[in-house]
Amino acid sequence: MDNGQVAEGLEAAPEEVQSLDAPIDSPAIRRLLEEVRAEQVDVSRSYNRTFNRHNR
Amino acid sequence: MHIDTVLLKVASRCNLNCSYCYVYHMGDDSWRNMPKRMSPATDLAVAEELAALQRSQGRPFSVVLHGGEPLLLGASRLQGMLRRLRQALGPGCGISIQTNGVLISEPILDICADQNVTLSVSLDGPAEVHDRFRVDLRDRATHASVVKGIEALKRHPAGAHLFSGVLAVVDPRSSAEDVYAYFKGFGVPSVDFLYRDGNHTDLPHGKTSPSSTEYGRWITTILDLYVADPEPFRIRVLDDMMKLLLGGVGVKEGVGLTDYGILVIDTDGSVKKNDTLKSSPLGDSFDSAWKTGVHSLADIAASPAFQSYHLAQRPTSTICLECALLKVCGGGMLTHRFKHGSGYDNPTVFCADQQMLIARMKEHIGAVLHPARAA
Repeated sequence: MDNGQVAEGLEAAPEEVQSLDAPIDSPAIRRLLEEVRAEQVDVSRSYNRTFNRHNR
Repeated sequence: MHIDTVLLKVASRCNLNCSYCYVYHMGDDSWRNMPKRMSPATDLAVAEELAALQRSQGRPFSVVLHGGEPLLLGASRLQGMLRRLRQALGPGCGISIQTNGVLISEPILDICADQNVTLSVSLDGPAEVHDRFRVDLRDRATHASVVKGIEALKRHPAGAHLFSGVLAVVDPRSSAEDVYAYFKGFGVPSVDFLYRDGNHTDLPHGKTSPSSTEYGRWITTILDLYVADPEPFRIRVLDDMMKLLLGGVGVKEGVGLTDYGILVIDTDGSVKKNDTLKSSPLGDSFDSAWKTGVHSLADIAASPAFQSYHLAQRPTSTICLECALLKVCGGGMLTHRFKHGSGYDNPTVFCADQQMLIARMKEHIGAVLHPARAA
């Protein structure tokens, strides 16, 4: 796919995230899926937006 | 609205002279009129006002010591300031320091450990990448000094807790593969990649036009390496955007559509807008000269002028409002939307880059969620 074109319909529906039990090869994505599942349960929010600025 | 991040400009000067700095090299000279360091009287007033703000809004916030270089305070003044802040705010507020790392020392790390204060260090990658822009006041390379500081941080008994990660500014002309490999080998817990500041009128370094994708190609290479890494460190900006694609919540400024409440207190105690706006011609000053200790922070945060500034972070461009990617992109940082003639009523100057990045994220996530379709 051309990177400049966005494939529609590949975003996750909540039920997909909750029910997905297939093995996931990417540890980075697996970690995010687990965190999103946890967020949907306890709606935890971080107050920390620390690391978004250039330092001098 | 509520405040979730308070940025304290505890030092207005810096021991480095990074050529891309939005404080010293993007047209704003207000730092010249600031005291070099925040005085104990000012930081006491700030601590008391922040405690009142926390009570008023009924929820904690993060406090970030920033600058300039915050460690120019020196160990003694830093200790006093952190004690006053921690005493005023209690354990519920995260306190952190964003430092260039050169002045990290054992005494400073002990002070941070005592007050449960974490450190994030600015490091752009290997020496040949970092030293191209991050030089000292005599134009000398700083990479070795920064690495020395980080090594001290990692060696400290509380280092695993104190070291929250690295902040790296992207040079799209560098090798993304080399930068990723460097951070991987260095053993950092987390990296947050930032694009260089700029806007539609004054393009960011390395970007040839608003529609070009130098940054998009660079960060997409990082994404591919990250997704394929069997033991990945954290990359905050990628995590936040992919979480949004997965239906989760992002917390990073300039990503997603969650409003963020940032309060900036300058070295003299005055209240400013988001300091990254220094890099746009309209600047970061409010019309009102609000000052901590004179005006209540809770009253300032509730004022129409502050509310108006707060709402300005929401994208207004019809291009953004009609874009299917807005809930992930968020329209980018306000300062990156600026254009002479239309102000901030534009997509981010990195719009094409972000489209490319999000497209690749969708490919990766789609391959997980819909393997048959992605095949």
